[in-house]
Amino acid sequence: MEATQAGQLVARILAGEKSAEEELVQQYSRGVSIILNRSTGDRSISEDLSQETFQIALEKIRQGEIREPDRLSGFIVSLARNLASDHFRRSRRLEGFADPDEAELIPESSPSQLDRLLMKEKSKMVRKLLDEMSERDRQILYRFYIAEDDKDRICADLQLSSLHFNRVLHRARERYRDLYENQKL
Amino acid sequence: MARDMDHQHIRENNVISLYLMGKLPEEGRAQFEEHFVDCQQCLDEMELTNDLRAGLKQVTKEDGLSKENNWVSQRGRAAWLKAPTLWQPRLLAYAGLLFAVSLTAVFFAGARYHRSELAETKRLLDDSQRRYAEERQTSENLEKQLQASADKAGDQKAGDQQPQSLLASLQPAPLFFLSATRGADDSKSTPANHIEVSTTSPWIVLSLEFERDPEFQSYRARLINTEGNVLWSAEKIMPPPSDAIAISLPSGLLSKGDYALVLDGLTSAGRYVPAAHFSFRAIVQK
Repeated sequence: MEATQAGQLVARILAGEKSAEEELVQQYSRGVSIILNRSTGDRSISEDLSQETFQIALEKIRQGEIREPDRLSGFIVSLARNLASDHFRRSRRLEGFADPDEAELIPESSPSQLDRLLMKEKSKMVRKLLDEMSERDRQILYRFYIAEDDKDRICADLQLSSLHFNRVLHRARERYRDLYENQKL
Repeated sequence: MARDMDHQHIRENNVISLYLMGKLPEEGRAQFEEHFVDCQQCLDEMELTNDLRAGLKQVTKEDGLSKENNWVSQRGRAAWLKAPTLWQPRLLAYAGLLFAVSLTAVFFAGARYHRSELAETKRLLDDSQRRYAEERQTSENLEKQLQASADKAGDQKAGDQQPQSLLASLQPAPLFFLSATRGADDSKSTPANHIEVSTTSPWIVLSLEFERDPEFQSYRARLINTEGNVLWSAEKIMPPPSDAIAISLPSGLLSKGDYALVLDGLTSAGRYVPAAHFSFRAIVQK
């Protein structure tokens, strides 16, 4: 969303337009969920915090407390991160919990039956993708995404340019997208 | 919104993957979060990358591989990772020996190669000069013939107009150089490239500058307007020797407005994948 659009959205909410509030939630909910999921590592906690984020954001906008309406995105991100930090501060006091950044390492709760089924499908698609790739490209994917080697090191080992490396990742993602979309049909 | 986080920067620096792996520094992470929180394009890309990464993790788990162990030692355990690699010491030793032996041969072959390349360049230059002279002569003859026809016709009005339009078709087509804008958020920004289409030139030539990928067998070009309609397309464009492809288009296709010329590369698997994207604004001159 452009800064001017964000400013207009804030103005519409201030004017009491209900559809503008829905628009804000729709526009930002996906992004806020990702940020909170990464901060908390727990889907149910992040859902609660997401609701709280939008509740506070809308209250502040309605009361005209947004100083820079054009920087609405920055405001919402800060709010979500602060709520995640507060949550962990409270939890730490109660349970001796970790820092929110460390919390990213906390594993998710055990997967449901549906999660397992979806994961099986993903694995099937990835195997198909790997079958179509050259050995070198498979090594790039493994070393970057699983072994988490640095890009520079992988490029040096495999004598690749940065551009070529990016192309391999880009093609892998595009092919995966194709497989995913074909599966949905 | 984080203005300095544009899509080109995000793509070239693998920002999405690094964010998902928790490897972005704090400042970069804050900037990227501010960017992607309302950017549907990045959110889609993140979901896709996250999915792919989760699928890869699942496959490695099923194959008994893990992130913690050295990946080289794991190659033998998964068929999809089996491959001899250049950094294996024995292979490196052989490569070194081969390199030393080859170096002498390459030195002598190099001098010979450069001599033959020079001769070839000279031959090509002579050839193009000869063709230019021939074409110029043909053009002059045609102009003379057209002028003679016009004189004969006697009708001053028709005589003025017809040769002019025919002569116009003989004029060289204007050439425009376009820089790739692949990955940029074209829907929101003004195109970086501008071209001026003249109604007197029936054709224009676009020189598309991009980094050529040797893996592509051929290219496909498509001209798309802002409504997403494909106005023109061409397939089987052979890879150029340099990092530029020249495309000729009837200038009548373009009216005032923004366009995208999308270049797709044909992979060895027979699929087209995006190779480069050129957005441009056309201005029509009368």
